Amino acid sequence: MRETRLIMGMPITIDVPLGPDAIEAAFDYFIAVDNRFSPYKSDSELSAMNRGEVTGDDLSEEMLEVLALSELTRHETAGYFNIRRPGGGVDPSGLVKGWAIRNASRLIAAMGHADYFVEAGGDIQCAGVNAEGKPWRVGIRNPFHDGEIVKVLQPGDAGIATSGTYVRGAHIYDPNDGRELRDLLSLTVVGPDIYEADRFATAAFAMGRDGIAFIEEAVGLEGYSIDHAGIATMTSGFKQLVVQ
Amino acid sequence: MRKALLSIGLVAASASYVGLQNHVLDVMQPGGQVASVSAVAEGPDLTDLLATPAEAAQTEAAPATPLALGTIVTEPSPAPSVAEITPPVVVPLVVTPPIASVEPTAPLSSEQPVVVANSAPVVTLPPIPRPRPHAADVALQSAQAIALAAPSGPYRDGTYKGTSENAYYGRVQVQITVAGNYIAKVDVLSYPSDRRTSRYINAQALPILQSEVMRAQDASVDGVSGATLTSRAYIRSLGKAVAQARGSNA
Repeated sequence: MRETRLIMGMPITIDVPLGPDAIEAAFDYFIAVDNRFSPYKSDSELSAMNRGEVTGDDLSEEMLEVLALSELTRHETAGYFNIRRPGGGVDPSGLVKGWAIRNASRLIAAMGHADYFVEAGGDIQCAGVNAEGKPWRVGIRNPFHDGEIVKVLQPGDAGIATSGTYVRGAHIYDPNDGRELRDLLSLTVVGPDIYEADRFATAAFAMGRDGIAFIEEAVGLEGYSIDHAGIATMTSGFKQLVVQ
Repeated sequence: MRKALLSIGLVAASASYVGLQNHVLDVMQPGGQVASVSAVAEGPDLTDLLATPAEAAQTEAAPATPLALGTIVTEPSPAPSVAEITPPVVVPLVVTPPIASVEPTAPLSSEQPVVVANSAPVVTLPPIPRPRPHAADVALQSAQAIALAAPSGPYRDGTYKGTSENAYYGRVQVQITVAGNYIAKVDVLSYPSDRRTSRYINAQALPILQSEVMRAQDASVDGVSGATLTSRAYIRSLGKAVAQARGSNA
């Protein structure tokens, strides 16, 4: 069974071939995450915290965990990942998405399912096989053309995250000499789970062309970057994940 | 306060979940069919951002030393400049979804590397060069001319730059060209990254990574991973540029 709903401002797709009950439970979990962490809900715990209404001991365990993981990621990426907003407060959305997908997947597994596919806003966690009994296949979106894919992966039990920009019609150029910058449009990271893939996709994308080298050096992560000219660069272990 | 109505399609973020603006999403289904999911308008309206004063505050300084492999910092961060929240010092990683109990992950410990529970391979990281403000992280869903409508007063033809705004990892500044009450062109001004990071990486004598020309694939998949993000800094800067075209001092 497979269903898509709009939660946290993005389409969330959950496919558990043998478990409609698990699908409902997982959607309920995403709704709970949205109610706690949405920067757009004035009554979310995040908004209350950013207003100073909730501090320290009164914060929920989930909030404390997300803050701790954000701080850890900030140190591990030498500041490339940072949830602090310039105007004050924090926005941990960049970490919450992968974290929530991973938690939802664990919830589904705890209900006894070895086969599932959870996707939120282009980040994916999958395990086992689909309804046809085949390992899950994941496409990488063409950053130049929304309806197309440019790679087909069979990543096994893994998390797949893509960080990037869509620059169609808007051109990025260096204001000093008018030269068009040939920077990355997208960087896809495949890791042991979506939480790891997501947070390092975010940080590695910020490093520009050095990001794919960072993923190459990292053990346990594979990556595929696409630049402004449509040239893709992949880590040395990435080919093993590719079926097309 | 005058408000401008901008009809721009914005798609939900990967880095932050910016709300959707009355936009119908196309959702990939297995076999490549596309189903439409109607979006509920939610999240920041661009009109609100036109009323927000520019925030040019500096980002918090990054830690001075990248971590060596395998160590975890558990000390608290330095006191934030905006002291409204105190991040915790050390917190056990306990996953508590509301419906079913799940085994907790390993607690943070300074002796252990980052171990991801329920998965065999460990992610270990190389030393990381100190970051510098990087190329802008911006997105624009569509290149269509954006109609500008205001309760009173036209938008002046011309080219206008928005403020330089702090984006997720750098600065972004939007420049628009207005013609006949339309945004005819959007350009993003970005600044080259510091060359130090490239020199650092190159000095490590990394293996040469394989490159290829990206190619469309015709295949059915169970899902698609892609970046669909809208930068809030981009929206802020765009809002400033539009306000200038209108001749306001917002």
